[in-house]
Amino acid sequence: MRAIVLFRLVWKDLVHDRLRSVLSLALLSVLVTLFLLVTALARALQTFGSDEGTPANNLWIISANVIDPGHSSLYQETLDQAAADVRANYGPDSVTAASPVIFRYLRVADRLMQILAVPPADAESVHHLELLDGHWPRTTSQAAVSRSAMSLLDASIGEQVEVYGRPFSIVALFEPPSAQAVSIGMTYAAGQNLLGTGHGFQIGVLQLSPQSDVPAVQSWLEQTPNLAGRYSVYQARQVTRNLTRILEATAVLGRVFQMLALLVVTFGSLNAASLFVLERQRDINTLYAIGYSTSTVQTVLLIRTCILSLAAFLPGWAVASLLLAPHQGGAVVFSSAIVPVVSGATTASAAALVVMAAGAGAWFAGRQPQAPS
Amino acid sequence: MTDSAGPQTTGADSDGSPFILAQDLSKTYQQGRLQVEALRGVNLAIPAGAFVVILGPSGGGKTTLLNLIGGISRPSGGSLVVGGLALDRVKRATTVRYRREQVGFVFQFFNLLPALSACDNVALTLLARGVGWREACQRSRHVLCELGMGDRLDHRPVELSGGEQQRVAIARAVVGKPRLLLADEPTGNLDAESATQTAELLQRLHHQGSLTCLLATHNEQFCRFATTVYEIRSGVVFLQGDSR
Ligand SMILES: Nc1ncnc2c1ncn2[C@@H]1O[C@H](COP(=O)(O)OP(=O)(O)O)[C@@H](O)[C@H]1O
Ligand SMILES: [Mg+2]
Repeated sequence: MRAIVLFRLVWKDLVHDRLRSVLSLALLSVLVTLFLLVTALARALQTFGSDEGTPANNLWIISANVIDPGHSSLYQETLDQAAADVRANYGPDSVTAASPVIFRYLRVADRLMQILAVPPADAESVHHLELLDGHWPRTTSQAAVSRSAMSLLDASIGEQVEVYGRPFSIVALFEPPSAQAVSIGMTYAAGQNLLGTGHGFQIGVLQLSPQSDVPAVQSWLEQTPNLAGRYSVYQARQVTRNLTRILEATAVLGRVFQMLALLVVTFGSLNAASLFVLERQRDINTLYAIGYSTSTVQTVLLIRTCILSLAAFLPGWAVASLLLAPHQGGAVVFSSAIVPVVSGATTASAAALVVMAAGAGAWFAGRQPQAPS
Repeated sequence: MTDSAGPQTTGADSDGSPFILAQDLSKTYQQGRLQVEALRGVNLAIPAGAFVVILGPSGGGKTTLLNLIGGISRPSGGSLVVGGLALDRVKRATTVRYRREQVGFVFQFFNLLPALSACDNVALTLLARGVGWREACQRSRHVLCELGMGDRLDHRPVELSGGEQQRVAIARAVVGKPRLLLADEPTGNLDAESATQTAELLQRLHHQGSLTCLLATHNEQFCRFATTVYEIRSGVVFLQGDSR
């Protein structure tokens, strides 16, 4: 039989049974919305604080026993000594750079943001801050703003931002290694100006040569008299990880909810198929009796379930996007943004799964022809 | 009184073999642990063009017998040949084609699809055979008009009386010009007047073509139309009368 004929039969049935079609569609749409929202959140949590871009051969020296690097304090002599110690033990080329970072969490425009003040020459080469637009700050009244901070501030290059009571003009858009980080970058001098030099700086970064055995240097350095007991040495990634570990459980839960939501959508589709079959067993048996084959009846069921399930993706997707629209900047947790987005790939793969479920439902339901009553 | 019907006792087709030949046909339903013997050792020989009435009380096995002959279910034992096709042995795809092309079914409860108009319901038969929508509708309309339903083409089943629904169902059964018409208590759900009309309609259709009709009923009224009357009780079939 021609597909168009089957399609037409299904369509007539859907239209005839309007109320039921609309109700099924509404239920499936709600499930799809739920799935897309939960997926968006789970995704956002997974990428939260992702340290993909963080260089593996950077060592961070911070005060022992602090979790928030903003509470650390370190002085130039200590950093220089650490660099000298490593060079003495591992060779003069083992350290390629030693650079201080002034690091604070501050409230900027009512949001928690990271302030990073680094020597401009080291911004890219050592700290892996990637310049996306504009130029790095040169004066003490210029600031670079990370992508997620920019969207939170709803600002752009050329505008002003007030940090710690002082106006800065935005001259650069950049992306820190942890892409979601809500950061404001400035020159080291600007940081000193703004926050005072009483506490020195917060993070001493040693960039090791690429050939180095980073973990070995790390544990050796921590035992040197210069640092022992007072400072901890981390690989840069570990610090981000320490911070994001707090959210790990939530991310796992998010993934679990995502799976559950997908199951709910799938079974919703399967359920729609089998309820329909139960309700229409008589009609289906009649079709068998008047010469329709099992596979034709299965195709009819499949078309019907697919139409309903796939149609549910449109309103489901629209509602989910609408609900997320006011949260484009995302929620900020520990100065890292959680940005839920409805992804096309997720939607498509979920739709594929739902169609498979519909197919399974149609197949199971249509497999047993019976005598009509 | 009745005597057991065997192939030797009834008429045969022009080429010598009956259109429907059942030998020692049986059907057992498994209902949980219980076995229900719905048909037991049924022998039938029905020539082409016959109008057969199968008379019997409720639960006698009429529906079961029609479902076997119509290729809807399979026998548990014995042999059943219809129009040269051994229904107890053929593949499922063959039975589907047989139902589609050779058999028209009329049910007690009409079994029209509620979502479809009278015309579309009739067209279902032709659509199953791959006839295009437009042509199927055209032919269906024609048949419905012939059966006096010309002014009800676009009505849905709920908008039709029982007698009218049954006429649509009959149109659906005959629109494809089947060789065999199986009617299972076609008047069981109708008032006396509609029942008579339906019976006369079936007889008219039988007269018009080379249709072989099998009509199952508990209503003895139908016997006056029949060329052959079988009686079925507790799954056993007896030949009651042969007008030829
Ligand atoms: N699907 C079935 N499962 C179990 N028993 C059945 C089934 N269909 C019919 N029967 C039994 O077979 C017998 C004959 O039924 P049926 O052919 O429907 O009789 P009739 O149509 O003459 O009323 C009855 O006892 C009935 O209960
Ligand atoms: Mg019956």
